[in-house]
Amino acid sequence: MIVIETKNLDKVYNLDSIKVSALNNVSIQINQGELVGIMGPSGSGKSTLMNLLGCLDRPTQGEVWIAGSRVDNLNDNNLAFIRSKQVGFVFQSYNLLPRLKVVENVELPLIYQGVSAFLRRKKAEEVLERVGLKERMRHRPSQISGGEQQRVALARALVTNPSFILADEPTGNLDSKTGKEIIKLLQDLNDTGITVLLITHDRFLAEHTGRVIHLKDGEVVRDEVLLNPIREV
Amino acid sequence: MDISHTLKIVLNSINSNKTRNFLTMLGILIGVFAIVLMVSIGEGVRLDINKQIESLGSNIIFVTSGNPIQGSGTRRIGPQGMGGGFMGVTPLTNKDYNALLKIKGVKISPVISRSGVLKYSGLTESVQMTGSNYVYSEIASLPLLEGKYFGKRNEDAQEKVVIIGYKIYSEILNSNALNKTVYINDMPFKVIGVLKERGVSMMGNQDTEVYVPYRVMQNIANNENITTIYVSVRSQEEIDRVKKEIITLLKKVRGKENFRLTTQSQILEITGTIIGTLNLALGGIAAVSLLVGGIGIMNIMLVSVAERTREIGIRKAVGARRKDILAQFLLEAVFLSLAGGLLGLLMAYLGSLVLKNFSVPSAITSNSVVVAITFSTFIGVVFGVYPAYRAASLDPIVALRYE
Repeated sequence: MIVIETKNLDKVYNLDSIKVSALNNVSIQINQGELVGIMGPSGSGKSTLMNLLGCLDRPTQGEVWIAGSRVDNLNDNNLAFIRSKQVGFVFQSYNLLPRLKVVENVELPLIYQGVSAFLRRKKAEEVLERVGLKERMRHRPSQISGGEQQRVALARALVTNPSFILADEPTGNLDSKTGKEIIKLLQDLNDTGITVLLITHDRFLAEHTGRVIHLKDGEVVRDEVLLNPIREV
Repeated sequence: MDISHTLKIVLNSINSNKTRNFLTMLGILIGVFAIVLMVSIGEGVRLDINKQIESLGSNIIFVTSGNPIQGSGTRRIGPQGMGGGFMGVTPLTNKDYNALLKIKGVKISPVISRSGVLKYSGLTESVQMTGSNYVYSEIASLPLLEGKYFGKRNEDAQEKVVIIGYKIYSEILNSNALNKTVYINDMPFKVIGVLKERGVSMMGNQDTEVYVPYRVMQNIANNENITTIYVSVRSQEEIDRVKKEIITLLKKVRGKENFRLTTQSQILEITGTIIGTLNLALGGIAAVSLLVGGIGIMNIMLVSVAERTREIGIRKAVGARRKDILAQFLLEAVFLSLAGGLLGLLMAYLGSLVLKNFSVPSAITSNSVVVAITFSTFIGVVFGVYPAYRAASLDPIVALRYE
């Protein structure tokens, strides 16, 4: 089953009336349960592609389909709804809200889905248990380590049971040991059937996935299948 | 979206910038404080004046010189007749008074008002001197502490007798006044009565008033002028009939209608209008400070939105819609404003208690409470909408990238 599909995606930015093409004719398909790396140097269009797949932005041309629905022509509110239901974001800089406790950060997406307080807490505790941070749930982000913060962000991405997780350089702010723990967590989650997109410029990181889509100058230059991805244990 | 969660965010945010938010609230606090206090003083003054006008006695027609009132809407230009000829106005005289004595079933007294200086054994006091006939104490229901009001005999004999107010009795005459001789404008008067304490009214301190026979005052002034003739009617229903009689009689005596009749309800109406206008002006001035407070809220909310751009981005990324963000920031603005308003209300309440100690009448009505709450909410919404709209319109991609 196809979770994400793009058809002839173009994205052009108008910077001071100069047109800059960030994506050019990108067509990809991601299947349910895949762990896919999207790789490319800076300026290759990775971030633009992530914004489009994450329903944060709309393409200039082309189509984006997520879990069988077309989303590129939706208005802001409907895009917010799709983000809320289908997408789980993990950012390089964690992006937790500093004033909320760990468990409240995890509950955040459920609040905007209108889930009751009791059920929110129950689900948040479940996913925190899954990422091994249940005992830290009453801490604030500033009171836990970077690796732990990223795991909280992962829990927040998982709590809505999304169609896929979009991880943008998730290890970029971490030391290599902690980075590997996060990669292992992503691999473990993928083993349970969750679709994961890993956006990175790092070849070594990308080799942990089963498939790498190479972007360069806004175009897909290679769609590589890795038969023996690196496993972190 | 979840109200309790929003409220929690709002409280969190307000709590984390205590000083800044307190100062913002202060703007609204002062505005609401000023409005509520101003209006309550106005309301207090109105109640006070009404009470005093009513205490004059319920069914009195006041006859003064001057042109008649054409309905209650038009006001005569120029001051009320002052007893002496003033700006071409023919004053009322004893002739007019005597003519009115023909009216059956009413009590009538001429009233002459002057200010004067009372002296007794080296002490002096400024007094309000009222000349009247012997019926006046019944018309104005003056409460006697001791002695009596002068009678017809005193009046006819033009005796220099005086009824003094409580303050003169207690402070100048050392609570021993009957049959003492006091000097008013250097003329000797014998004290025959003392009035009970009546307090300060809007027309002056009632306890420094002195009452003497009107003829005595006319002798001093060497004329027969009268400031006002009080005609006391038994019941409200008789007012119109008596008014007609007064007009007929006075026209005959004076040749033309150069006098006017005023009743209590007209005075109430006029003072009501004056105080209403005054209240509006005072409230308007106070409202300006509320406006300034509102601008303060807008300012601080814009700062808050800028500071929390990244938070807005995160919230949007995890599924917050425009209206969720809008509600969050609008609620924060309303909360700031409302909290300031309620504190202002509390301060105004305390202020009115303090003012009461200084005998300034004030009355915080349920109206002013409603006005304070409505206004501060309104200000919060009006000045919160724009910052909240800015927050809600932020592009999540830009907001997430914001450092």
